[in-house]
Formats: sequence, C-alpha cells, structure tokens
Amino acid sequence: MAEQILWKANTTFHDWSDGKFIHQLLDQAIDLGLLGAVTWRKIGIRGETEAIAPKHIHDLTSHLPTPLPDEPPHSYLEVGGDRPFPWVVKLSISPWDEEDNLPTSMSSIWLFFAKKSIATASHSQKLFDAFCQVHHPDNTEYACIHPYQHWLDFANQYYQPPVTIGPMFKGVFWANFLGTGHLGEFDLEKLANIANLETKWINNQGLFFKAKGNILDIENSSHEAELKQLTEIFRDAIRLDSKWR
Amino acid sequence: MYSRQQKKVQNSASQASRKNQFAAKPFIVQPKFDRETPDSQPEQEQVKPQGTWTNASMFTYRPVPKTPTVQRKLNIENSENQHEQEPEVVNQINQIPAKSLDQQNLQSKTKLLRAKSDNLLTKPAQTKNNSISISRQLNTNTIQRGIKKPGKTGEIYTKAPASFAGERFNASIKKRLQEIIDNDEKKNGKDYTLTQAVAEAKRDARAQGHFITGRIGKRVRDYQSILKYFKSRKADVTTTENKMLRIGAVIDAALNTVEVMEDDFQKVSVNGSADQFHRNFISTFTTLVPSLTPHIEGFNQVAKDMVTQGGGAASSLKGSMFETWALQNVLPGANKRVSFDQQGKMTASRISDGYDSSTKTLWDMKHYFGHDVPQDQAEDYNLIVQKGYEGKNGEPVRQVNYLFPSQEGAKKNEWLNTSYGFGIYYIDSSNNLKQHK
Repeated sequence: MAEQILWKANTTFHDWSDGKFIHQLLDQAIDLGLLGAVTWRKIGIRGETEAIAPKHIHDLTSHLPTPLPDEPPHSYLEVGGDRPFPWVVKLSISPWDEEDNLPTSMSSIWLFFAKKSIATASHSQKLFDAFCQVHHPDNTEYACIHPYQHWLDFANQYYQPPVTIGPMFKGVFWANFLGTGHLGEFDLEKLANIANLETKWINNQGLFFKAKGNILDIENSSHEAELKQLTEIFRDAIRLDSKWR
Repeated sequence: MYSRQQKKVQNSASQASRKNQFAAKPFIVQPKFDRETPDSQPEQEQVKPQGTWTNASMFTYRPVPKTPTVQRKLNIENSENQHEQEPEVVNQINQIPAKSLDQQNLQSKTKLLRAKSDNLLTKPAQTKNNSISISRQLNTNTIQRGIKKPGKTGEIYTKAPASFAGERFNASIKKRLQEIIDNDEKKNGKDYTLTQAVAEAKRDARAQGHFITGRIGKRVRDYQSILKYFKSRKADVTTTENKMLRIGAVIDAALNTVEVMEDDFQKVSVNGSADQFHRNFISTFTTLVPSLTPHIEGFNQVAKDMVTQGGGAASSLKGSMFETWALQNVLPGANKRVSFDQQGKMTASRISDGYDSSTKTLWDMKHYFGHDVPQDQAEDYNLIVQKGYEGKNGEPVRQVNYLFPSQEGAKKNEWLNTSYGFGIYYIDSSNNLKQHK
C-alpha cells in the first residue's frame, strides 16, 4: 500500500444501501482510469480472498452480502484488481434504521489506487474535480484523498487527537470534504477566507477544501507544514458546544 | 441491541430486499467463513526467533518491574466472551459435580485435569504420525495412558517427529526444539529426552530475554504452594481454594514457565474476607506474570501454556494479563481505565482496558490470534466515538484502538478499521508496537 493513494468517505447520516452513491464514486474512479476489472473478492468480515473471473465492479457492488447474526450489521465487501494498476475497494455499509431515519452505524468506502494513476498535475486536478462531483452534503459526511502511507504516518505523528474523530476528520489532507453531520460542528465564520486553501462551499452545508499543489507533491516538507497550520485553524474553529470539543 | 436491531433494522436478506436494491440478488457464491479457532485449539504463530541466545541476563538478578496501578477487569469464573470456549475434554471435567469433591479431593481433581489436558496435547493425527498410541478412559474419573515408543517424554528421540511437540510451544521454542533434536544431538553426541529438550529450549528463550530469570528467593511452582504460603500468613483462603478447582491448572501452567517467588506475594493483603483476599491474590498474580515476561514471545508462551493446561478457564486470566503486559511494555501512556454508562443505543455499560488522555484514545487489548472481536463491543465503542459519549468522569473519546498479540490477530480483525475506523495494532516479533495497514 506504500505506493497507493487513499480515497475514503464515511457517513453516519446517509443511506448508502441503495447503491447510488457507491456507484457514483466508483464510476468516477473508472472514468479517471483508477480501477479496471475486478479479479478478486472477499465477502463478509470472515470471508477469504478468492480469485474470480474478471468482472465489472458493478456486478459485485450491486449485490452486497447480508451479514450473519453474530457479525456486525454492515454489508461488508472487499474487491480488487490489477489493472490498470493494483487497486482495492473496501465497502462497509450500515443498515438503515427506519425509526430513527438514520444508519444504525457508520458506512465507509475505502478506495486504494496506484500513485502511478495520477502521473501529472493535470491528472491531479481532474482527481479533485471528480472528488467535487461525487461528494455532496446529501450523500457524504466526510471524505478525503491523500497518499495512504503518508495519511497514516502524518496523522499518527501530528493529528493526535484528531480534529473531530479518528474515523473521519483527523486533520487536513490533500483533498477534503465536510458535509452533513460534520460541518455543523464548526464555527463557519472561522473557516471563511483561509489562506493557502482552495475552498468550495455548498450552501453552508458542505465544504470542499484542497491544500496547495498537486497530490504528488503533498508529501513534501513545505506542504506538510501547511497541512499542520491549516489543521490548527480547523481545530480552533470547532464550536464551543460541539460534541467533539 | 442485536435483537432490537433485528426487529427494526433492515438487516436480513428479506428485509433488505424491500428497500435495498443491492440485496435483490444474493451472491451466487456463498461466503466461506473462516470460523474462529478456540484458544485451546492449534493456532498459527508468526513470531520469529531473534537475537542471540547467549545473553547472560539469565544469570543476573532482575527485580520485578514496577507495576501499573490500574484496576484489573477480572471475571475468572464466567467468561463473558462467547469466543472463549473450552475444549471438549475440559468441559467433561467441569461437568463433574463440584459437590462430589471435598477439599481433600481438590488436589486429585486438579491432577486429573492436568492429566486429561496433557492428552489434549496429542492429537489423533499426531499420535498416528509419531507412533504414539494413547487410550483414555474418562467416564470413571480415571485416566489410563498407554504410550508406546517412541514418544514418551522420558524416551530418547533419535529423530524428530514430523510435527514435533504438536502445538504446545510457540514458534521460537519449537524451532529450537527441532534444532536440539536434529543437530545438537549429532554435534554433541548427547542424547536428549523430550523433557530435557523442552527444558533446554525454554532456557534458550529465557536467555533471549523472553522471561526474567535468575531471581533470588524461594520459587513457587504450583498453586498448592501458594495456598500453603498464605495459610501460613493466616489468610482466609476458602474462596481461593474453591476457585482453584477451575483455575488451578492455569495457575500451575504459568508457574511452570515463569519464575515466581514467594516474596512476590508479600504485599498481598491477607486482611478482609475470603472473597477480598481472592481478589487481592488474583490482582497480584495477573500483574506479576506479565512483569516477568517482558518479551511478547515469552508472554505468548505462558498464555499458550495456560490455555493448553486450563482451556477456557485460562481465557479471562490471560486476557487480564495481556492488558497488564501491554500497559507495562508498550502503552504506558494509556494506563487508565474509563467507565461508560450505557447510553443511547449502546448494548451495555463499558470499561475500557486503557485510555490515553493526551490523544483522547481508548484502547482495548485482545489476546486473540484467530478470534473476532465481539461485534457488540465494537458497535458500542463506535457509538461512544460518533455520539461523543463521555466516560463517567468526563473523559472524551476521539479514537478507538485495538491491540493484538500478533499480526495474525490484527489481520483477522482488520474489519474493525474498515467498518469503524478503529486503529488496529499488534506486537511484532521484536517486541514493538506496530500499526496494521
């Protein structure tokens, strides 16, 4: 995974079980050339990785497995392939609670793809554009894109404790999105006009922000310093009455 | 919570099909579930021997390290963990009516338990391979063993069996055993019995720093000696004697591997009731053993011995010991327990194994190799993080991490990271804390 980029998204507010959001994200990834045919899968948390004849990813994500009674309630699936470069998708979709009109737990999608897939600054910009097309306050609570190994190491070293919670907004990475359930925890005035940050607001309900430069350069020390500074701005902007203050 | 969810939540295939277009068609290929293996069953170990085994530390007195002052979470009699299952033979033993055994029978029953557990060490396939024939007669509380050559522990091995010593020992000890049988015998012209070879392999492990050895004082080798010692101090050991019916073999297994001295129990208060004394003793014992096994391979060996000898009775005890081991050796900053009331849709109140206030991180240690973390606990921890539920003393939690004794256990539970974003950590063969990726 050292040479992989992570695109992850989470929600505790949206229903992903209808598949629309998942397919929207995966279609963008396919269009960008980040993933090709599925050649292996692992079904359920106790499943074993098994090779399969090449399939379109929709063939697998359209039929999510039902967990066993002693397993977590999530539909859990891992799939991957080797073309155009090795990639992995991990899905954990929470069931929907009709009474509360909320997921019973957290839903997550993790997409790992090769850095080689993003060879130029132009590709990097297209990746961010796709990120902005996929995520919306109506479908995502939190999302980010960042080189995976750096995401792990940098968060462990500098984002402790996380800005909100570890499973979601640890700190500022290359591409970031805060939507329903997360943005409301911040004093939005403090997030206006942040220097060194490319931002895009969606009616005060969603916020995209991207660190300067392209994703291939984000691990440089100068960018790391900026990430840390930006993270402190967000840390300071958490509302005093936030559940995560 | 799960039964509630089954009523309200679209969680089954039929329910999901009403709303979830994903669930309209099931997978053609059904998932193959890798059922967990009880601790008493063979487990793959990925630990590797490392370092030299000529370390002279085995001759040096090393005091017991200062122990953390956390309150241990113990429930020896009733394991809450559904995965902590006892092997069949141990279950048979436990079905012997306790009231039929008076105090004079205590020792004989434990011997019986040990003898039967010994038989567990030799599996049918292995007995065939090793030309060992063992017959057992369990229905009359007696046991008969007929062991043919080669294979008896006192017999001399001239050739190592294919599956030498079964799963009784961890990887480093098994490797050394194999070396002793295969090589040392030829080089030195020395014959080893199995018992001698095991003893030498364990000495090697101690020399590598896996165990603290060379301590001064009177060594305690079995629980009977402990009871005798505390009786001499006028402790009310009634409760402890009763509990030993179940955990005596577990205690003895630990004492057989770890050098525990009588002086180690000096600070155990003997005041108070028999129950209070028992709690004091167990608390000391679960702290003492990890402090004498500073290397994870040493600790895992002790834990394995305990499970081999005591089956399910060992699970809670080794779990508490692993918590202590982790707090002593790799997570000193997390040496705080946090209690959580049952809130919202949590299924139970919770007590964390550790908490690091500087990072607002809750830690849970699982001495699992092939088990899944209980999903109800994971769900409750998820709620604590997502909903911002605080501990009873106002402790905030922003991250949950699980710690396992090996990468194998971490890999088995990596779904905790995918589904909940929990950090997954393990101890590598060099005794370092590692994050599973």
